[in-house]
Amino acid sequence: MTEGANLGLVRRAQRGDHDAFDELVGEYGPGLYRLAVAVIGAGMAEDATQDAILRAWRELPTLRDPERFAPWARRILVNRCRDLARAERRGVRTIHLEPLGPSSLALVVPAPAPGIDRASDLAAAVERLGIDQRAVLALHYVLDLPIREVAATLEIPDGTAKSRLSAALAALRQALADREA
Amino acid sequence: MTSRLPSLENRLRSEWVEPTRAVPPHGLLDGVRRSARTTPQRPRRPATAGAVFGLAVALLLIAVVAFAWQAPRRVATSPMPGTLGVPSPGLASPISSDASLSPAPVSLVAGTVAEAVASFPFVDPLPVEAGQRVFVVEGPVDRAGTPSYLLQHWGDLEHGFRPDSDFAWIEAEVAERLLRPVTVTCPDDRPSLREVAALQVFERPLCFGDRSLAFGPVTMADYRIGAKTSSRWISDRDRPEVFTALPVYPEETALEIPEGTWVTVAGHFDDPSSAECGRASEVAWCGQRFMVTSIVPADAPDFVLKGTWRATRTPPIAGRAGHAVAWSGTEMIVWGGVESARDVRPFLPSNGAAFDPVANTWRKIPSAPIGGREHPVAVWTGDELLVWGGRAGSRVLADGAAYDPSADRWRALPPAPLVPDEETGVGGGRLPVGDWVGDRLVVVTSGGTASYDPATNRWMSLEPAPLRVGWRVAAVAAGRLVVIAFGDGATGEVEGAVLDPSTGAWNRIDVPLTTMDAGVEIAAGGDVVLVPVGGKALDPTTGAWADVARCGGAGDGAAWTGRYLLGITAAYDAETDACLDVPPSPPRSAPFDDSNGREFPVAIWTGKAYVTWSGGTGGDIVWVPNDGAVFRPAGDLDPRD
Repeated sequence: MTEGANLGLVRRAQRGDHDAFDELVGEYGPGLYRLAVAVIGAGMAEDATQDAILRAWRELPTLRDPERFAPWARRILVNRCRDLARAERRGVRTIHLEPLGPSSLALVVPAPAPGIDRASDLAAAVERLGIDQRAVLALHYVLDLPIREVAATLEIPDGTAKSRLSAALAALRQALADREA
Repeated sequence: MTSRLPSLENRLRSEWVEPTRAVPPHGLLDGVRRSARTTPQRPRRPATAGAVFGLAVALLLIAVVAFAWQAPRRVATSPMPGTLGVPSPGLASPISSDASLSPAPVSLVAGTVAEAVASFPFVDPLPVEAGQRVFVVEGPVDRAGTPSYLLQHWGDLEHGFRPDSDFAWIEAEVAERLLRPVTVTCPDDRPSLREVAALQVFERPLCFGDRSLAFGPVTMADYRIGAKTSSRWISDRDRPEVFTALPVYPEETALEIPEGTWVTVAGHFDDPSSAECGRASEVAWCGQRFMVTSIVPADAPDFVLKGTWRATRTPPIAGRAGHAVAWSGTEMIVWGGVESARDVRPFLPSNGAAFDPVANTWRKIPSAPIGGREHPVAVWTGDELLVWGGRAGSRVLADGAAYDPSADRWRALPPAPLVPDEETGVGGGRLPVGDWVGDRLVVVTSGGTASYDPATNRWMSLEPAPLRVGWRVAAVAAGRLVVIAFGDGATGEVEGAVLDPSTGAWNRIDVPLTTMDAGVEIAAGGDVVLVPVGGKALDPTTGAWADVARCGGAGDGAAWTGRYLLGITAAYDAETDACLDVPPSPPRSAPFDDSNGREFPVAIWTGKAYVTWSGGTGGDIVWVPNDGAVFRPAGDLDPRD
């Protein structure tokens, strides 16, 4: 089974109770925002979170299983991130880096504090992954959801979630290797 | 000295800290709460006849219970407060119930169905709700000195269901007060798949025994809901759902049929092998499986656009997304695009190729005299492919070129009287849009509008579109150019305008879309502009919108056939206002086993066939397989032929 939600609140919100939905926003909003930061980046996380929560409110009466509110809301968020990324790719590219050659790198970049460079390397490598891969990594490693919950959130079979996670880790390893090369 | 580096998984947990530490900006959640208070909710689905019937039964039962409650009858309490069940090794934990009041006991019979007159706890996490049905598997039998029944519970859509159903023992005295025998209403002799799927799992063998049943046309689809239930389901449309589709066994046999294949499946419940499954609960569960005896190919149903796909030969250029495309009458010409977004500096080739769908051959075309780019405006003039604008990295471009396939030669276009847009920033898409309007290429930027006449090789300035910045989309219908601009944060509303080429004047129009629809495709659909995702159609001559069938899949790689807006996964039928499924296209060589199809694909309609090539996978342009496919509809889709 998927993780439980506050069924009473969800059912009240489904009937149009704004106070109940306000409480749900307080309970799940911060997690949704963290997920958005992981999936689409801090620059667009605010829009994605706001859109997803509003859409959740609008669609809430159609949610057939209130117990699945949390994965359902996360799925809306991931889908919204995907839409925004698609639209954003039509309009802009968020990452435009001009990598420096090794020699110039040595000249202009001061030695980073221990630990900082590794973390930023990892974050930069994550940014190079696709939305779906970032979503799988975020659900599993940022929100600490088990694979089954990841699968339930993305409405994919468990096996697919596992293979996506493997593919994402493989791509991340490659991205890290590319950066180190 | 050796160093012990943390694993990648540990690094993700310990070093990918920005999302973990992120907190919503001040006011974000309060703002969205305020917005929700002014946003209407979508109406709840109308109750089905079955649900109405169930409600009526529940109300009747409530009345019965209430009547019994009024009677001066003392109800038996548990000998152990709160614990009425008996433990069963290997089965569920004992059932506890606080249902202290109930009507007079009624005997239950093994192998029949009973309905709860009041809610009571069952195997966690779901209770048995009043009105729900259970299967009396066995009993009453003596268990540790207490007569007990073995019950099976599955659940329903309203309250939740148990993926593999659950079994538990319950004391006979309690069961006989909480449950009432019911007669199962079975479908006709030749039930549909949905009628069978709507039955409780334990009702199916009761209704049909081991009689052979056939369902078709149905598709095979992967759907995993539990550890025991088969992951292969038959479904009559869309993705399987628990109460509309049926898991089939043996799983290995069903897995041999490719997903998405239309077949007729014959089989039966109550297989003789069930008797060997073990304990009573296992025997019951085994008998409820639909055992397949034959699978034969079937024609696709009416809601599927009939036709066949074939893969094209591999072109002499790399795969890409966001590229330009045009149909010359004999060849699909592709140019530009981005080869992959995996790299920090995406490769933007300036080359292209042309595909002859009759001969199934590709030829490489010369590189253009302009730089490579994503999402240029691309039109076919009748003689040349014109490409203009687009984006290279974050730079918005304002130059273009023309390719003449008969001479296999490019020429650069003269400079347009348009100021190039500034570099784009996050959330502020400013890509030029445009189309072929009459006998001119018309392009719209943030700063102006201009038309290019290939006959004179000259540009002409037009009245700027009355639109603020935002993600723009454009299409031509009824000889007019329609542009829709979605807000970029600074401008919240969605704006639209229609250019009448005969006067050069723009007319603003209302647009029944929201900024949340940014990124949706619009497409020419004859005399109207279609928004397949939103289910809207615009008449550009009047500015009036009409509701049409939603058909999101028709917007991806859309091509107008004269009747259908044909996409890679769906087709909108303008004649019947219906959305049809398009059969699955050839599988892609992507790293995911359930590739998301094609992202930013390009496609053309030749008059006889739909041709697509490349496009990203995985929800973002990470992999761009170099693969093309041709869909040849079984019927003649083009009324002009």
